[in-house]
Amino acid sequence: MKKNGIYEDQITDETAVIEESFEGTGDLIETDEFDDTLGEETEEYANDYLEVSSESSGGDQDFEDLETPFEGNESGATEGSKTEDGTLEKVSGYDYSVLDEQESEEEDNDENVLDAYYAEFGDPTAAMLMRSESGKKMMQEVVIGKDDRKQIKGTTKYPWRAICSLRIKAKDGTSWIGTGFLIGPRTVITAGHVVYMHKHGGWAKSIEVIPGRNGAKKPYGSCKSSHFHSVKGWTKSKKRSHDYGAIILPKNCKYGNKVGYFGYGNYGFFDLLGLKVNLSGYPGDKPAGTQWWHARKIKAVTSRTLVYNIDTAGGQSGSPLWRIKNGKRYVVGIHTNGYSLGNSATRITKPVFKNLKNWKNKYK
Amino acid sequence: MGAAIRGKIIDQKSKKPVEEAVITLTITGMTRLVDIAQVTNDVGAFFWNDLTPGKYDILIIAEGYANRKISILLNTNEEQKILIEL
Repeated sequence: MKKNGIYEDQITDETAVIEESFEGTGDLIETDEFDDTLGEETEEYANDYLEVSSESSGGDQDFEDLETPFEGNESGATEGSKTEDGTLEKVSGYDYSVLDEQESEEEDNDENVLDAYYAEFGDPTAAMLMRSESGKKMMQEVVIGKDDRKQIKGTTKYPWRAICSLRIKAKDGTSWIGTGFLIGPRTVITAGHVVYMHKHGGWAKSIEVIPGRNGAKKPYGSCKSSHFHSVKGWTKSKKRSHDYGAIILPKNCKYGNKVGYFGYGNYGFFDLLGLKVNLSGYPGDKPAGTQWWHARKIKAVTSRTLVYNIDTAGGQSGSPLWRIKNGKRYVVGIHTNGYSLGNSATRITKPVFKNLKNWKNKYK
Repeated sequence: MGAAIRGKIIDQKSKKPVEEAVITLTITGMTRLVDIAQVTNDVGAFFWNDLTPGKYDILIIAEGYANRKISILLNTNEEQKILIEL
């Protein structure tokens, strides 16, 4: 059934809802539909706690909620190195010991702010867990620290080249900067508020996508798009927990085939809490168009968000939050917010995973 | 309830508009802010609405100019106009 330009297919999946898309001409296109409301929170919450391990299943491809990355056909390929514990990129000059050293410093303070955070998101199960002895013990292991971001200068190597500087033209004439990352040949994932700005005209007028940008250098050129996707939870309800979307590149601009793209996965609570993760993007408080990386542990996990003290600034909305597993890069969250209680990402939950997969598979 | 900032950035000497200046906002206190930054248009203007009232730090970075940081207090329903010279 088509309603106001949106096709609403027969819902067969219990978790089905409506996603939204925009092709730039004012016409909405037909889309497959996946759930992304809070209505089925119970079922989804249960899924959030499923253990996800490629090791136990004999390979990443065997697990339905893990989408594999591709390092691209471009020479130079990946840096091929990672830190000792395997989940972080190896970036020269970064003091990885700070990830563990600062755990005990702000222990009491962090416990209080995280209580507030969980309370704000109204996540009773998580709040209950974090008040338990085991929860407190876990929380003591995930405190974080100072601004020690590192500039990525080799942006033509994977995975840095799969991260894109975005220049957004809003409908009201304002211009913005953000970050996105490739998950397929033509699919760039970013924050919902990058593609749909409620108070600046709704869907963006156009977005210029610049993979691997390094200051004034655009090693792969750039492509403009006016074809976007998001979910109703963002475009209609403006729920922070649904703040994610996609930019679909034109058919003649299959950047992903050249520069590669990230994998992504729906990981469980215990996989995520305390996990050391990478975040890299294009912050507005640094020289224009330069990419900056940082790493910390995830300090709080709610049913739909991830919280961390990775330092970010305006312009990094849409940055990938990723881990390395078995040498492959898997995004676990999409960075969206700065907050005094901890910066945060939209978590790749089961419905988010489904939408990303749909947006990837539909546009190749 | 939303507050707004309407600003213009000009060159201190020539008084000409500064294009492509990047503006980032941070707010003091327990308020979440989306991590997006704005860029001035061809007349050096920017407009940021739907802001939670509070004290904001505005960082302006433009090529060829020293970084500039200013603080403003936004009240409920207020649209504050600012002129910044670099």
